[in-house]
Amino acid sequence: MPENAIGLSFVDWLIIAVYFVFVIGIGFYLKKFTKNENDFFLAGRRNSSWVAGLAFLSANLGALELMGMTGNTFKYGMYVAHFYWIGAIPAMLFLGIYMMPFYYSSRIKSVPGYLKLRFDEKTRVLNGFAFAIMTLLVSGINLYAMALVLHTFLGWNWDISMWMAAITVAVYVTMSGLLSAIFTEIIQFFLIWFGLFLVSILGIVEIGSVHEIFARVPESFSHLWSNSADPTANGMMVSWGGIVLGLGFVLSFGYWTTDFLVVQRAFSAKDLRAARMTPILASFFKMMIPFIVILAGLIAIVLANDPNSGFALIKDGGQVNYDSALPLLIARYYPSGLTGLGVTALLAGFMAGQAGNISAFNTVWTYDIYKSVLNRNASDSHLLWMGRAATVAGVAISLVTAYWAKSFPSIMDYMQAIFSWVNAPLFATMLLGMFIVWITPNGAFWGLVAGMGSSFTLYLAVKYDWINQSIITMSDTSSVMAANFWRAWWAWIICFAVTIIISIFTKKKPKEELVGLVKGLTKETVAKDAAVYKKPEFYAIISFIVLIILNLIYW
Amino acid sequence: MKPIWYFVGLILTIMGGIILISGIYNLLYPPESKIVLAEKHPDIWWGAIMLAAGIIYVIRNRKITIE
Repeated sequence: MPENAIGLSFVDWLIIAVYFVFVIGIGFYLKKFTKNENDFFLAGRRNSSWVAGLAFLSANLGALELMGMTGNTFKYGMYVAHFYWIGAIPAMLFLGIYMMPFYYSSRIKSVPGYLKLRFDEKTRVLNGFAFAIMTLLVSGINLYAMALVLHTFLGWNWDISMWMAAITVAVYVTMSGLLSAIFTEIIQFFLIWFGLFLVSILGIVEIGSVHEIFARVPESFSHLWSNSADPTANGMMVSWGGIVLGLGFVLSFGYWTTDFLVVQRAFSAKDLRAARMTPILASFFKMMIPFIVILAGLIAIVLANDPNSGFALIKDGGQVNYDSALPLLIARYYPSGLTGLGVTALLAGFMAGQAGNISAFNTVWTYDIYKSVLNRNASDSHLLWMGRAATVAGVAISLVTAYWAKSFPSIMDYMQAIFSWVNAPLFATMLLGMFIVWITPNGAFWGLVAGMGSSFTLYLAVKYDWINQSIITMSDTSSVMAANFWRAWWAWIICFAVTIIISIFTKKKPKEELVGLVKGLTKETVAKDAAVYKKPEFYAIISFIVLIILNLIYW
Repeated sequence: MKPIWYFVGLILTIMGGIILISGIYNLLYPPESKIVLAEKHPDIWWGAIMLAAGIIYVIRNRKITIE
């Protein structure tokens, strides 16, 4: 067992066992309600906005994110809160207010399905393949990361950790598809709050108050905007331009409005209003996550700077392991029983993330690749069978990827880059497609190719020193994170420009084929006579006001 | 089908109950290795909060079924 490993008692193991029995039991219970492909791929389209909203948020709330963002707060300070506030909320509200009516009303089963209706088959297949590859890569890398965390902090065996998690996910997703994925995501949401928020509470109790925590972290780490004009004055070494354009606009909108992993949860809503409310409700909970991760990261900074605390992050070969902040705080404060809950919260985060990736993959594979390219006449029952087969195959490929990542750990560096290859350009395509009638199928296809290609090329160019990073970030001082923000921005701009230019010269789709898919050709869906407090716009405005207040408080 | 909130209640009840009982045991027979703030007994009150939240969810949703 590694020297830093957290010891688990019988009670901790009992809590972990309860979780495993529960999620597999839920899979068995829900199987009898999964009768057709609509149940399997869209959870029967019966969910309330609360269920879909919490699942929407939880699909993104993996353990890697929780540990990584706590570690990033230790490294970069309060700037990490931008990922949860400006880097998420405007995009989620935009999805609920403006984009969801086009997605939901067209009765599609996936985001590539919208591309088929709005543009053509080749754009759908291009995005379908890109999404499927991205999802399986991320799924496999997550599996490897989970085994790495469990080995480092709990001393668990690599192979047993990966196979146990993969088989459990395969069993319950194969039985009831998106329905069981959503159920386990909501259970994960509660386990994460009950399992990890206590770290922040006990940290505040030990240090004295939230005010005291902020007083004891470096000045450059305790603000959101006031030191953003000069990249050298903040921990992340990024200017406000990089935050607003790269993170707040392109990366955020690219992920939250087009990534099928999260958008699929809204498709499971029972009606259009519930679908529109899904990301809006989720936005309130998203804004609360920093009270777990950012606060825990700041507590770790205060404790690490206090020589009497006995707290220090783990060092691997001289390099500080920032991801160790959250597990070490759990080990510091949690007695037996609660330690099991904290570990279960992390495990649930990993496994629900895995289930989310697999349920999104099986849908895109079945509809956007298999039915679209390989077997156009497949029956509904055959598609249900194919969805289950794709689940097993997806988990198997994830396992292979995980072992590949284990023998080639630098693949982890590609994680952030993978998102900007696929999602950043896709957001330009979606935005143009939904709001401008004359954008053509060829414009969209070649715009996507150019955007994805340029993002990939820029990544390689910086990594292998073909060009200086300062050309992309427009600053002599910048971090890897800043380069990610700016590369996403350039990929978006290139896709946007190429799509428009090619659309000017290529054949447009007849307007009658675009009804319901493009603004201006679609009947307004706003219920004008509904009470104000029942309208999604009302809650979106409240969410936006809370966002502004939070940013002003921590300016 | 039972609503998801029923299952949330069940798992919180079971886990909260286990943590509360474990906390009471730790109070009666304090473990040798002390954690920081052990004197606050977070397992007792946090376990009790989880148990209470779980019971409320179970009771509120035990008779509800959704199609």
